[in-house]
Amino acid sequence: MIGKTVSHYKILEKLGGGGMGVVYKAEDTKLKRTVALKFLPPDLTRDDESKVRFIQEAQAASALQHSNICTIHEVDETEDGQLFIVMACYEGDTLKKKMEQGPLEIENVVNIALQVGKGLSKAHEKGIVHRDIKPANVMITDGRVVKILDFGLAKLTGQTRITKTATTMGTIAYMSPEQSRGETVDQRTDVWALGVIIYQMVTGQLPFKGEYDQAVVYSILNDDPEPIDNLRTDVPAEIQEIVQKSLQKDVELRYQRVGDIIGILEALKRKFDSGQLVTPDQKKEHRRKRKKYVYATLAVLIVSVIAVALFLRLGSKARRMNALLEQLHPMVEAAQFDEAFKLINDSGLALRNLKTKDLVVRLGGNLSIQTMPVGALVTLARINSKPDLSKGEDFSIGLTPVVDHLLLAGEYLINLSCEGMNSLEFLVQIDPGESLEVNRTLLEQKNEFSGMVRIDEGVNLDGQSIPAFLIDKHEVTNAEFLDFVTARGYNEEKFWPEDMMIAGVLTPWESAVQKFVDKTGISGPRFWSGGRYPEGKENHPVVGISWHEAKAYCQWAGKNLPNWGQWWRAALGEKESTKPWGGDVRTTHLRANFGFRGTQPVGSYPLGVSLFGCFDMAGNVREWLLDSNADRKLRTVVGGSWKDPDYMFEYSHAESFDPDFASEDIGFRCVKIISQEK
Amino acid sequence: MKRSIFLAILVLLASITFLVGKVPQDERKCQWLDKPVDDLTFKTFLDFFKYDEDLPFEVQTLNVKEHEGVKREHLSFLSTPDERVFAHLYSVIGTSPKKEPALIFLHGGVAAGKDAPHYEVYSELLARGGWRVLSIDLKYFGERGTSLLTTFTEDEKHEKLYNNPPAYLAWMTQCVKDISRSIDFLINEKGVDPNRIGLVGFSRGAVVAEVAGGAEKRLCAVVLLHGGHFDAKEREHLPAACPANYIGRISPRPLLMINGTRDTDFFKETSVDPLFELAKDPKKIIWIEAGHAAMPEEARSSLLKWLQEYAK
Repeated sequence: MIGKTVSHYKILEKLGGGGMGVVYKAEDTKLKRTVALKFLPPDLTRDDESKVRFIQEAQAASALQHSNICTIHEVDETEDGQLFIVMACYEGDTLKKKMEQGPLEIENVVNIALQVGKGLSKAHEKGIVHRDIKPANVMITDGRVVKILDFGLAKLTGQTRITKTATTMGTIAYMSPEQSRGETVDQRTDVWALGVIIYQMVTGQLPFKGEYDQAVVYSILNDDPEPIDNLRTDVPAEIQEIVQKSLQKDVELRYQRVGDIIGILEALKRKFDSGQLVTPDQKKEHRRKRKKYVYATLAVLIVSVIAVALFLRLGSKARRMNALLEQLHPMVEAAQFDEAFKLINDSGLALRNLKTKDLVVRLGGNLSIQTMPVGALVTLARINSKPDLSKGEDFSIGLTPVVDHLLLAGEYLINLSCEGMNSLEFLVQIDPGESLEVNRTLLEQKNEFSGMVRIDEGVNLDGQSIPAFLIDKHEVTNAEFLDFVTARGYNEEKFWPEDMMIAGVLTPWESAVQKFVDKTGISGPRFWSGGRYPEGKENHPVVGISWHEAKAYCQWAGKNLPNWGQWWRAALGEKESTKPWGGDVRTTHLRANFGFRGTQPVGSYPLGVSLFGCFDMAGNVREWLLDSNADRKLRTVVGGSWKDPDYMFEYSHAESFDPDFASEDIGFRCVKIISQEK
Repeated sequence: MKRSIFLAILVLLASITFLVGKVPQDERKCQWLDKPVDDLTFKTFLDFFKYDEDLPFEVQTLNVKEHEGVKREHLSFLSTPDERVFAHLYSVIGTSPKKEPALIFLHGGVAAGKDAPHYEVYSELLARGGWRVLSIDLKYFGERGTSLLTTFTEDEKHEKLYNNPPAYLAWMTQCVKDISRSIDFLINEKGVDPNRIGLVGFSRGAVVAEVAGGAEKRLCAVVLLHGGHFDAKEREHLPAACPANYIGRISPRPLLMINGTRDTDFFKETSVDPLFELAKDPKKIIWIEAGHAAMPEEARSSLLKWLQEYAK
């Protein structure tokens, strides 16, 4: 082949060969660049169907543009019908060759594993699984950049199962249990293989071995690898943890995404970069050097030690800062604030100490909080969106008033607490370069304000002015409604001041109230039985109550049903929010009870709290309003319920029902007008 | 005498026609609801939905999960060269190897698409009922999200898609192609019975099903849950994307509609009743005393019974 020209590629030299075919270095005579040509074994592409499949897979892989994935330029065919891939040609060695010299330095292991992980992660994002990650498929260029080779080709060669090809290629040792059983594989198979490679880089040996292929497979399926610390002593716990979790035989127990490994490796890399991590071998070396100079003069030693310590400290801090800034810039470009938050936190540096003002503006915004009364303790927790929506650790920023406190952009759960007052919890969104001012009035710890929050005077989404009012944090629960029933709420006409409409007909109270009975005929919600709510549902919102009953409860409690303007102001405030918690619509299922799981205890979705501190405004149960925005005889319900898709929260999906209608998805909450407040 | 009576009737009819023509614009009367396009015109619409039947599916299985006896495969396949459909395929664990019936499920207009818990529950319900259920993301929703829709509010969806006639036609065309490819996928890749593949759509998914049901003749039955002609905010469509031109062409395959009397999205009088009128037998509508979305147990039971009769 050497010296021959195939298509417009002049073959220069043979680079290697194996089960996946032979690789040649070649010159692209058209573009005048050096490339690598991989000729696949003819038996893999012997028929037209195989060829088409091969071309499609190669095309999919060629769409992967990432610095850690080998670039595929094109797929071509020789005159005699042999397919070959044209790839970028890199100067360097495969990881297989690097490992022939023994285990690698830990810092080197971290760098290589991190880059392999990043390449895999990119491919997984596009739905492409490598299926054949092994040291021979990992190229390390002379510039220490890792390139993953042969993406997607394993599928073509049938290496999703054990085949002759896989055997000859030495692939079996890197196969996951599900792969060796011939089952369907996903990205977690690549996680396994990455775990095997890390184990091998660290220890210099494979985790699963055998004299012959079936013995290797048996070991993969049944054995636990020898613990790394039996084989090497300077391995950080994080590496051992990665290997241990990556090599879980049950895919569900394994890391589900390569991204999880990347996070740990990045943190480890930062420790190396900042000098925080010193291996036991390095410690030994330091001790040996110290002994060498122990007999030097004391004065010189003290001066030297002080000078060195100062130098290291200053140098280390500067290095940390530079490394931090270098990593932060791309995160800012990509608006990856969660990642930036973690990075800054891990570095131990504060956002305000970053040297570049422009960067601070693009990373953070200011929060000011005023409360009535002043002096409330402000505790924040960042809401992480990755890997899953979760509340971060609490941290305090002092007492109110808080003025222009710089925070990294993102979502925060704020808790205001003050002696003698009800605490208040709500969500805010900090946008980069913006200042947010929050004013809240706390309520005294009195029975009459229990479970309520105050909404200060303001305008709602329609621009309508809404006077201040109090509103229940939660929907009224079964237990609370039982108090009304026990207090003979259904027997006292004074609690039922409205005209009673039954089936659209004005009906005397005595007759009307006879209709509002439970399954056993006792006065109460339709889904209760024997005058009691269903077992274990005391904290669930009461359902199966008509508008008339909701109104009677309010009358008994000295409250009222919210009107349209009040309810929407409590739910969305005056800002153009999409949902009570802000604009994040992709995590709705984690913040609100939509989707047929039945009612849930009130407040079960703490990250769905509204800007004013109300829970379950979206989902759980739809809520009766005082008024109607439709036919006068009908009463409005809003907010969407557990039976609805989430778009039912929107005001355009408000619906109206007869005031005697009751359903398993309609409940209510109460308001109190401010003139009644002391 | 007879001639004068005839003339009087003609004058009367002309007056009625004139008055009908004067219906105010704000009532948003759709001309196709009065008179759907003729067969010759309709035939030209079908050209919109042609696709490359030989395009490989390039199926990618992303994960497999089991939930209380139901297996859910998360997968994707190529619909058209530049469009990959993401889907969940539900089936009861231990299903028999013989050719099974299947349903394609279309979600409503939520950001999460097929992944919204509401639709996962429906898909599981249908799977437990004995069908393999392919629940697909419609373009712009779920895993097929783009920058076109970001807040998924009704205002945004209507402004950018539902009330943007050219964009809506393009979207509807892709949706119908996706459904046709889903049928191909179920038959060729999953071995389901080609004669027993039904279509179930919810809300906006039902609107898509109205069009796809008329265009794709391989569907054995069509179910529209909380669907209708226009929703409360919809204005107009190009004729090739208007359900009124398709609903009558689902026949002779059976059609079931389930709607809420209190639905303020698809109003009974102006959206649902006129569309059902246009549909031809065999057709059935079940009214429930509810709003747009909630389907009580008896309605779900009626749905399963009807599917047992017509799609199994």
